[in-house]
Amino acid sequence: MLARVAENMYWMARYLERAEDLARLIDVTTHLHLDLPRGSTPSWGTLLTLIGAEDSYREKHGEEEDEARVLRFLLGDRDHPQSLRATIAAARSNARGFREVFPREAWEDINGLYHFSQEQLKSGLSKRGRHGYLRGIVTQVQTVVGRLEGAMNRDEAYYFIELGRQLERADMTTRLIDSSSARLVPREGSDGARFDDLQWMSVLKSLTGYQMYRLEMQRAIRSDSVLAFLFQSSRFPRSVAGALLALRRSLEALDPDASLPRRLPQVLRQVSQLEPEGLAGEKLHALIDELQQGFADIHGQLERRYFRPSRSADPETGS
Amino acid sequence: MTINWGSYAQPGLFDEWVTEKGRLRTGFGRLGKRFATYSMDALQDRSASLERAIKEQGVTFTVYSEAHGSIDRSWPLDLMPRILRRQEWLTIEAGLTQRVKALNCLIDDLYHDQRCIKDGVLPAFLLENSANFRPQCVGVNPPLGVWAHICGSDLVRHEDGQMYVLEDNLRVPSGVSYMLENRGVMKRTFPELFANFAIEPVDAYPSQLYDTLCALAPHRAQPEVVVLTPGVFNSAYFEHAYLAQQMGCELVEGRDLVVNSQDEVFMLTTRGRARVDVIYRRIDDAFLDPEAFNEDSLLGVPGLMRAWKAGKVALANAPGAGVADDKAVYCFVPDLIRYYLSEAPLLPNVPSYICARKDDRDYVLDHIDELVVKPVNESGGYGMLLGPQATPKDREAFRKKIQRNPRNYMAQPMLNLSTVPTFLGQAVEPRHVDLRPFILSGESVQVTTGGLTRVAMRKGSLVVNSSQGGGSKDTWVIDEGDR
Repeated sequence: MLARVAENMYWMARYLERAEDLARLIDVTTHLHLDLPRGSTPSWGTLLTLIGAEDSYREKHGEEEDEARVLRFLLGDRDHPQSLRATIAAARSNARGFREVFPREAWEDINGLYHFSQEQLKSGLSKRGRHGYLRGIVTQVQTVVGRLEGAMNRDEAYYFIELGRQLERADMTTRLIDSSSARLVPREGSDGARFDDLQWMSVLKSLTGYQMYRLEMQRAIRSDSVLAFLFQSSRFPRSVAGALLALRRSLEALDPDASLPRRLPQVLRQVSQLEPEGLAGEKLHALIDELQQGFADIHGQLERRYFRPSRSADPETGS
Repeated sequence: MTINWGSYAQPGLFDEWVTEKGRLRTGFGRLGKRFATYSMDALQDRSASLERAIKEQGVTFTVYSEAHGSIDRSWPLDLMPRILRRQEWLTIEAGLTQRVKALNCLIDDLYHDQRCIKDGVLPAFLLENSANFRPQCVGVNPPLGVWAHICGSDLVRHEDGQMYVLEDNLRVPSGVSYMLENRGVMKRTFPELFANFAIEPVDAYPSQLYDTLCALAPHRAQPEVVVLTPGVFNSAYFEHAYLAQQMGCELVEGRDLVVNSQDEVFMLTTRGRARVDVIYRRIDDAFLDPEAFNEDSLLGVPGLMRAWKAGKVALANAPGAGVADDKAVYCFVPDLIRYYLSEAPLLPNVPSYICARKDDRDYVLDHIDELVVKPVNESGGYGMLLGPQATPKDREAFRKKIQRNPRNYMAQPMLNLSTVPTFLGQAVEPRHVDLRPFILSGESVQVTTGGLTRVAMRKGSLVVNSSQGGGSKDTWVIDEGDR
């Protein structure tokens, strides 16, 4: 298949997954803030840090990080490529490039999602409408994903979509975990521990993983077991290992004879060997940085292998 | 309430279905009576299901607006078909076939010996000032000697009942996908009519197109054919994607192709590069190859002209084919048919005045309020003056334009296009139509059965372009004898 079309598919899937995860992240953060003890000042700026948007936010709004402003930026900013609105628009514009090989209903769903994200934005920015807006986005992304799952031949097109979705998912899950190390909740006095639990619960919920955690780990919420679940569970589809294993399966189906991108087995090994006990704060943050670099390397290897065939008139053979 | 053909007729119009006296024409009786059995409610029901089918099949066209950029709109299709009797159609088909053969002879001649000019059939000044003559194409021998593989000719019926050729589009004519989709939608909407009337099918086109393209391949048994589009923002992108899908070809953009130093063309795939043999290009000459034409073009493929000239890839239509869809050249097509084929033309041209000729020019300047004045190198109805409807100021401006650059203009009498019954929600009224059949030329010449009928939805309007509020109709060629 055309390299350009494959790349469009891959990016459409990444943007869709990113939009869903971002919507979940904002939703859960909002709920968490409602549970905070009176008097503590929640930091909305953490959300910006998580998606790497604090610099462009500061450029526009300065140091003020109040709820209304941060949310307007994250949900509706046209100019900022990481806003929810821009992410959905990017998914749609990538899908436009291959309408002829895409199930038509899926294209209509993506179009619907795009219009919903624009038309209902005002309601999404209100405190009462926010939850409904974000749920709407999550549900509509899942409709698209389900449509593709149910309707597409298991051929190149399908696997390029899977690659984008799973790599983005692994990346977004690490960002969600990082939200705890970045101290969403300021720890103060004896309440600190209690709110740590609250926070882990909210991370699990943002991944719809709370129930699954209970089923799989059969334990109360504890930092090390939550981390083991979110990093290493091969059964939970949104864990880092779960997403990377799915990525590996798609690569094997796509190219049974080719070797895997070199970095993938390395990153998988790193994840399976990590020790959740005592992993917190700076140490956790550093590990996550390292993993994210690994994801970026895997992306680079996929890009070189599939999306960037040489444009030179006469490429050297055998390269 | 049902359709009453007796009160439908309107004086002064030539209607395709009904005579001026309100009688159904010969060959339209059975079908016309059948339509009159539907109540208005029933027609509204059918119309709703037709619109649903268009939406479900995702038939769209793109319009541009300042405020919203490009928007996809549902394709407008009218409930009532345009009908042609088979008897008449066979003549039209033969007329189009000879016309396109002559045009291909002309193009090949113009890029070689220019016999037609030496023999005085075509005036030399037409070529000297032609905007679409490409010096880069001189001496090239495309496969089978054919330049215009896909042609879309516009036909209109005047109030005298005669069918005339209005223009021939030899560059990148569009609309055939809508002809095919219209038929699919109509079959879903009126299944019983398709069961009871001998309506000739149209769906052979995509495979005929594919075969025509394959026959151009330099010499490989399994040629790789691709459709080259300017991209998703082009107004005909729907059609590009549709045809690629129907033929099972890749839909490529310029950036997906490279030409190597051996003048071979490749597309860039996830498995490396793959050789391309035939390109059905939907990009204008000027943007095709920045090495040969417009060097700023980002849509084209550097080196494509080299590859084509070397015979390593076939292009359809061939670069330079547009030299023959000049509206001044148009005026000579009947003469060219006699000259190249030694045949009498079967389809007449609309009488035309070439402003480059002094006598014609004087006539046009004196009668500009009766004429339609057209720039010779535009398509899609742009830059025209409709004399009878224009303001005195506009007419004066056009007189000046003609005097400044006479070669650039031609004029024709204002035709009163024929009408077809058209469903308007509450009533059926006559609306003006034209017809665009598509003609494929390769090893043989094939004409679509019927074509795309375009209809001006506003009462009295003659503007059929979909970008300007025009709609479309399914075109039925039927064999109903004298009934």
